[in-house]
Formats: sequence, structure tokens, C-alpha cells
Amino acid sequence: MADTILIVEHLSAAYGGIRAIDDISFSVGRGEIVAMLGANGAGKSTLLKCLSGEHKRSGGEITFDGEALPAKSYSIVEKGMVVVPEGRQIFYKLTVYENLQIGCCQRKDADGIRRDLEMVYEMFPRLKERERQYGGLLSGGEQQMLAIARGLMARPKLLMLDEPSLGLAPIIVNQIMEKLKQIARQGTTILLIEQNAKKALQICDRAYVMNVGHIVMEGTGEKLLADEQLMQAYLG
Amino acid sequence: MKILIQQMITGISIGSVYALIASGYALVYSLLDFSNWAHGEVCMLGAYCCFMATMVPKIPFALSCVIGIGGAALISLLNEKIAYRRIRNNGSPNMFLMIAAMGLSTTYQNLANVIWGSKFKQLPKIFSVMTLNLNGIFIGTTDMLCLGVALVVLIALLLIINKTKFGLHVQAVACSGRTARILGVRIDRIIALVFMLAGALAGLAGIMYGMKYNVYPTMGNVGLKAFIASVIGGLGSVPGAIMGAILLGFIETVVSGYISSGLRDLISFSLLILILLVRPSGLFGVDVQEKA
Repeated sequence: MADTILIVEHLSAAYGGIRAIDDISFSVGRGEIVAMLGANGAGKSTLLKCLSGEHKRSGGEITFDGEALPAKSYSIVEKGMVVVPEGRQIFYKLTVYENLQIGCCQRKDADGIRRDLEMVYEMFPRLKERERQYGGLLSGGEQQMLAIARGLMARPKLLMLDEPSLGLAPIIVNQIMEKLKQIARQGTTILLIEQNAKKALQICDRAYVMNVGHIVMEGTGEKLLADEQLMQAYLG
Repeated sequence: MKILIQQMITGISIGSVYALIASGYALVYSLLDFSNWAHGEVCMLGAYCCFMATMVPKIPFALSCVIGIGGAALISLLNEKIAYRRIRNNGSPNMFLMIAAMGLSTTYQNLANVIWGSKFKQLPKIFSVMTLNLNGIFIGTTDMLCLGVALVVLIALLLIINKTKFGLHVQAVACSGRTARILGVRIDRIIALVFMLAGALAGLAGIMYGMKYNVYPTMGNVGLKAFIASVIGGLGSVPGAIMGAILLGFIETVVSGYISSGLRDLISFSLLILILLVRPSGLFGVDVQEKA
């Protein structure tokens, strides 16, 4: 793969003495949607915490956009790697607009920020309508859209989403997945961490399957979707 | 009636000093969820810094005040850098922060006793004992000065929190420090700045309090009053803390004036217990709850 944006090699991480992920290697190509699948406790969220600078890895190398990944979260965001956290984590006492402002807290280009604000409002018209409302008053689906929009405001090269379908109605999940495809078409690479394997496999280019801290399988979305044994063994 | 108006103005004046300290409590509480018990001592040390500066010849009083405020901001920042940040990074429970703060509080009080002795130190009274006579209402000029300065500073504080990028970041960290961090907010820097801001406000309050009642090692106990004020207003809310402080100052003066000054603290602390029992979110606590 000539143009790889994220390379993870032999990554390990532990909580106390307990290894949550063990010697994981994978890569994400520029412009791809890559899904990381697995059941509860497979180590997906820990992986994301290592990538976002929230958890210190115990071993391995992470290369982003040709350079070693910095340690501090704000440097990682500055480099263009942004996470949409699990459970949405909206600032519920801030308005929709203010939430989006936090998304671009590192940026100084006022014109670019204004353009991106228009862009996310166009993508999620509900957010524009509710611009002055508190984030905590939005519905679950709207909060997820806000969380994605907030991530996009950082103008990321790589957007990483942790379980965006969690707790949402199937019709909303479909909408979210469509938006992710749209975001990828507009040039942002996506790493999608999901339990909802079927939905993720439908939109991704490639996928990895994790089980108890290891990657046990990889392949294109179509190939894994057709593999019934896999679905039963790891993804239910 | 004239006496009541006089009492009200005095009350609001002392309340505005409480408000300067209480808003610092509220700011730190909103970010870190702990009551910074060393905050009153920061106030005391600010007053001593100012006092020391007045001892140096040729330093005008205004500059002494700046030194006092700056000193308090620095001490507050050091508390954060040396003690609180390490405790947070160790992942210890918030209780540890509060205990560390109590330790600092006692340390500073004793340190002040050792360095300056327990005797009262006098700050120059700029207008000394002058009072204004407004149609039979007597108001101390120091009271008026404190009230005026405090009002300007508090309005500036509210503008900083509600209208600036820094203020937005403070609110975001208060809402969820973890989320703010992963979205790229430099939260350690925000927290350090908030400690400096809270320290500067406490230093200013210390100087004002010192001008009214002199400077002494246990004057940091005024921090307890400010704590009551921030509970009245709802812990963690800056506008609430300001309202609570002014209300408390007012109640105290009226109780002192009409009932007995001996009962003043009894009433204040009874109020604290009552609020904690009946309305723990505070009188002005309007909270947008998180959707489950």
C-alpha cells in the first residue's frame, strides 16, 4: 500500500498487569473506511485510547502520516487524528454551536472554520436548526451527529469513531452510516470501531476482527460479510 | 430606614469581598470537583505580600496591591503544579485533593505565624476613617472602594467566562475534562490558568479584607465564609457564588446590626447546614441535566 496514513505495529497495552491488547498490527490507507470489529472486551476501545493519547501503550510503534504519533492528545489532534468518543460525550451544558467550537479549538484559520461550520450544518441540517440549544437536550441520534460534526470541525485527516451506532434505532444507524460514507467520499479517512458488524461491513472497504486482544482476521467488507462462520464465532 | 440602607450597603460591600473568594472556589470546584480548602490561605498570603511591599520605601500602594495579587496568583499556581496536578495524575480519588488542600491550609497558616507573628499588621488605609455622609446615611469610603473595585472585577470575570475562547474551554473542561482533552483542549494549561485567576481574585479580596480588618495569620478563615457563599449559590457556579456571597454578606450585617454580632457566624453556618439539607444544589442552581 503506497499511501498509508496510519500504521500500527506490534502494539500492546495493559491495565495494571492485565493485557488488554497484545501485539496488534494493522494499517489504514488514505481515503479508506476501515472497520475494527469485535465483541465486548475484545480490546477495541483500549486500542482507540492508545491512538487518541488517552492510554499509554506498553509497547509497539504507531506511525501517522509518515511520522511517529505524538504522546499528548492535543498534539495528536493538531496532527489531524481525531476521535469521536464512545457514548458521544456531548458537552451537555454547552450549546450545539459551542460544542462545535470546542471541536476546532486548535485551529486559528477563521475563514476555514467558518467554511467547515457551513459544511457540517449542510451535512446535518438538524444541528443548524438547534444551533442555540444545549447539547444535553438533543436526542440520542442528534447527539451522535453533533459528536461527528464536532470531530469534523478539527478538519481531521483521520476520523476515528468509537461505536457510533451504540443505543440508536436502526433507522438512525443507517443515516449515520450514510453520513460516514459521505465524509469518506469528501476525503477524510475513517477508522470505525464497531460491535454492530453487519452495518459496519456494509460500508467499509476493509475490516479487521479482534478477539481478546488479538487481531484474528482481516479482509474486505464483502468477503467478511459472506463468511458465516466468522459472524457466528466472533460477532454474533 | 436610613440605618437599614446603611447596613445593606455595608453588607453588600463585605459580600463583594466574599464574592471574589467564592468565585475562585466555584471555578476550581467546577473543573476538578473538589473544595480547595487552601483558597482562604492564598487570600491571606496575598494580603501579606501586599503588606511586605508597603514596607519597602518608595513603592506606591497601587503597586503593592499588584504585588499582593500577583503573589497570590503565583502561590495558587504552585499549589496546583506541586500538589494537585501530581495527585490527579496518580489517579487518586478527589478526597486526596481535599486532604492535600487542608494540609496546605494549615501549613500556610503556621508559616505565616512563624514569619510575621500573630500580631495584626496594618495596611495603609487610603481614605483612613473617612465616611461619606449621604443625606444622613453614613458609608465608609473603604467600603465604597471595595464594592466598586469588586463589582468591576466580577463583571470582567463573568465576561471572561461567557464571552472568550478561554472561558468556553473552561466550561468545556468543567463539563467533561476527559472529552475536552481528547478533542485537543490543553486542559492542564486551562487548569493552571484557572488557579492563577482564582488566586489573583483571592489576593485582591485579601487586600480588601486587610484594609478593613488588618492582616493576620488566621484571616484565611474568611475562606470558610466564601465556601458557604458558594454552597448557597450552588457549588461550581460562578454567578451563583457571587449571588450567594452578596446574600451572605447582607444577612451577616443585618444580623450583626439588628440582633447580635455574636450570633453572626452561628447564623451563617446554620444557613450552610440548612442549604445542604434542603437544597444541596444551591438557591440559584439551575442545572441542565444530561440526557440518559
